[in-house]
Amino acid sequence: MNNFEQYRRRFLGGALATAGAAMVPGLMLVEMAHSRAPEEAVSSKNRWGLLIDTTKCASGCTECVTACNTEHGLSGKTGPQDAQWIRKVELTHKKSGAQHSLPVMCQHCEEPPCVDVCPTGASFKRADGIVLVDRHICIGCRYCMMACPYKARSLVHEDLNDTQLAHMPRGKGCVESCTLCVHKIDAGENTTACAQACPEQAILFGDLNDAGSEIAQRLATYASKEIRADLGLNTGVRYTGI
Amino acid sequence: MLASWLKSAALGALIALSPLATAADGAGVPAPVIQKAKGEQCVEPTEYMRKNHMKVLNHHRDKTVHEGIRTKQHSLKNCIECHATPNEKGERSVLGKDNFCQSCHSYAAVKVDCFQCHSSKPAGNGAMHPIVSTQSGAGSQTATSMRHHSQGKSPSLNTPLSVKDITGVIK
Ligand code: SF4
Ligand code: SF4
Repeated sequence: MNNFEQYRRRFLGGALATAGAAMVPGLMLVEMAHSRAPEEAVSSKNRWGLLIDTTKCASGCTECVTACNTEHGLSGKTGPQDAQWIRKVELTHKKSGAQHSLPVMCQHCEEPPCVDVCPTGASFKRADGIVLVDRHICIGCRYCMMACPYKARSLVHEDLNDTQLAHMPRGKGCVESCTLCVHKIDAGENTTACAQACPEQAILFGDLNDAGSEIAQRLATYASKEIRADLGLNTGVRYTGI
Repeated sequence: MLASWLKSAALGALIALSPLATAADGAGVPAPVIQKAKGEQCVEPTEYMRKNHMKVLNHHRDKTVHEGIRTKQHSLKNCIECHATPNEKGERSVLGKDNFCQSCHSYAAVKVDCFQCHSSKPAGNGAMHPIVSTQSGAGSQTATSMRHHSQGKSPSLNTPLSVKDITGVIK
């Protein structure tokens, strides 16, 4: 075995590659797909995200919004003081008149401005890329709402009077936004309420770091965009067709 | 001199009139009702939990929120699952005059903040009821008002003493 060959073997996965001769490829796949044990902390091995196909997303359809509201116990009202985790945005190209409809939620930025500005450390990014608010620490200053380029965050203005769902604590005076259905991910479901609800399958959930996942393969095959890519936030939510 | 005499006299009058003056009636605070929970044994020895449940919960909450560790043993959801019992409205909850969390916290006069955000009911029990206030924010009651409530001494809003009566007396 020459030097290069040694290097290649190490690169391909060290011990696994050496034992690889006796191992069926299928076995390795099973091992990789195996979900996290409940006592195991999240890690940067995963980066969860969404790929939204705007060519499939129908104008006027709000199934994903409704599903999100139901999943998290939001009122569904859209006033200036109501919590909204997803908004449907209608776009019209100025010159061609081409129209697109797309859901916009927290984009789960890799470099989240909401985390940069938070004075208490309540706004944080989990190791697996999900951006959350630790409501135990949030003081409701709303700096993060100002910093977010996507208008993704809402403050809970009124007492919720114990109407919260058991899996989704929420409370007056705290800021909140799309959690990427973190309770589902932690339960190993690996999907989101919006992705499940979309009748056109326009929303694809997956692990951007797993080259074998459908989302990573689609991103590698087709052109996709981040909204406001110019800000360099490297969002976890990507769009095709805009 | 006169002013300070006036001040203490006014304070004395206030204390005598105040519903807070419970020491005089000697009844004491009723002992908390400890309802039987599901199962045989708590996740840790009962004595340990009585003293340390808050530490256990705080530790687990950080693990859950930041590291996604959702083991059941020390999760608040799991506490509620076992300790919820029917309240006045017949819903299983840990809040309510004689229910697990509130009963003891009223006795100890320690405000419990958890249920401003967390549901006090186990999953799938009354969780989907409409967003209306059914009682005046049981979750955000202060310990004092909880204690008064448990003693049947909720201070009335129609109390004869008003701010106007005491302004100018206490400086
Ligand atoms: S989209 Fe907004 S709320 Fe979400 S991570 Fe980026 S800055 Fe934060
Ligand atoms: S509102 Fe809360 S999460 Fe947002 S910046 Fe202020 S403390 Fe941080």
